[in-house]
Parts: sequence; structure tokens; C-alpha cells
Amino acid sequence: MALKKLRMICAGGDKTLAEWETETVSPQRLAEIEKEFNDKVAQGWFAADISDKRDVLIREFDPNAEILLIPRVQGGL
Amino acid sequence: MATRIQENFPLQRLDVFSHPTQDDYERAKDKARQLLRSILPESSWSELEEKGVIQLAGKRGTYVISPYSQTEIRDCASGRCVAYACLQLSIPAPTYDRMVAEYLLIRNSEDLYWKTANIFSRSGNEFGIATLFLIAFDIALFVNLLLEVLTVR
Repeated sequence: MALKKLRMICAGGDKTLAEWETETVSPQRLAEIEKEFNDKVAQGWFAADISDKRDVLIREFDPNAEILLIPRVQGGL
Repeated sequence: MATRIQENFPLQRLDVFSHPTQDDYERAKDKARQLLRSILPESSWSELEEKGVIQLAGKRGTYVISPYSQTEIRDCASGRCVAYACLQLSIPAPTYDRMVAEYLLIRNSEDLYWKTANIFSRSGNEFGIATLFLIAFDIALFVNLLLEVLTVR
């Protein structure tokens, strides 16, 4: 069984928004996690599949991926 | 009564007003460092530990991402620094998290990185002319000083 996490970068480093066992998670729980993912992406957050150093940006929720949410970025000085 | 007060003012709300301590800062930094380590290839992580920077080759140049300074953009062929890029997260977060964001953006969407980051091109000519004027001015001042000294004698 594989444990996957939805994490987000925040002031304290990163925090886990959700974690699930890919084989036992209920469809309802998965739908909740997907909604959380979609809400963040709609707010301008980037999502990356970081499982096994894959490191690719994704737009859609993948229940089999280790996902990192990155806040919006902007130019600095 | 005490229970009622706690209910009305939950602990999460107290967190908003509390200032992070040095320990919190160090903990956040360590977490961000571990996150960066989990993302980077082993060779890049070793490079970060040895040289303090990550080098990442892109279509438009080679990027040197540092935790403590702006990202250098170097010409792929000559290795000369041609520009500096500055990108920041929209929330306060440890510097290693900013490196995570830069690394993933450059790797996956270099054009978006260029659109979002502030890029300061480092044109050698502009710098050269300014320096040349300054040198000429310094020479003029020095000659003037010499003439003053000689005429006094």
C-alpha cells in the first residue's frame, strides 16, 4: 500500500493538508482532497508531482502522486 | 467559565497573533531544506552542500540558484553572467522553499519563470561606459591635483 500526501508550502516550512492510502481511501475522501487541490489551483497555486523526484507541474489532481502545492510567485527586488 | 473562554477564542486564532521564535524559524528552515532535498537530484543536493548553490541548465541559460542572493542567469556557452533574476513567494516562507519554487518553475515552465520573475540584465557595455567616465573623471582630478601642487612649488 502506498501512502500519498497533499502538502503545501507555508510560513512554517510545509504542512500536510491530506494523506491517504491509495488502495483503501474512500471515493468520498478522495473527492474532498481533490476539491482542496482544485481550490488552491484556482487561487493561483502551482501544483507539482514530486513523487520519486519526478518534479513535474500538474494541473489536475492525481491520487497516485505525492503532491506539493506552491503559493503564487511574483517578481522581487 | 475558563472552558467557555477557550471555546470562544480557539487556539488557532492565538497562533495568528503569536510571533515566531528563533526555534520556529530554525524548524521551518530545516523542513524547507528537507523538502528541497527530497526534490533535487542527488548531484544537485551535493552541489548545494559543497558550493552553496544549485546550477540548473535551461533553454535560455544556466541558472545559479542561491539561498541568499538573486538567481544568476549565465550564458550557456561562455558561462558569463548575463542577468539576475528575482522571484519571491506571495507568502512569507523559508528561503529554501523559494528555491523549491524556482527549481520547479525553471525546470517545467522556463518561459513562465521569465514572465514572472524580475530579470535585471547585466549589460557589459552600460557598465563599461559608466566605469570609463568615472576613470576619466578620476584622472582629470588627479592631473588637476598634480598641477596645483607643481604650481604652488
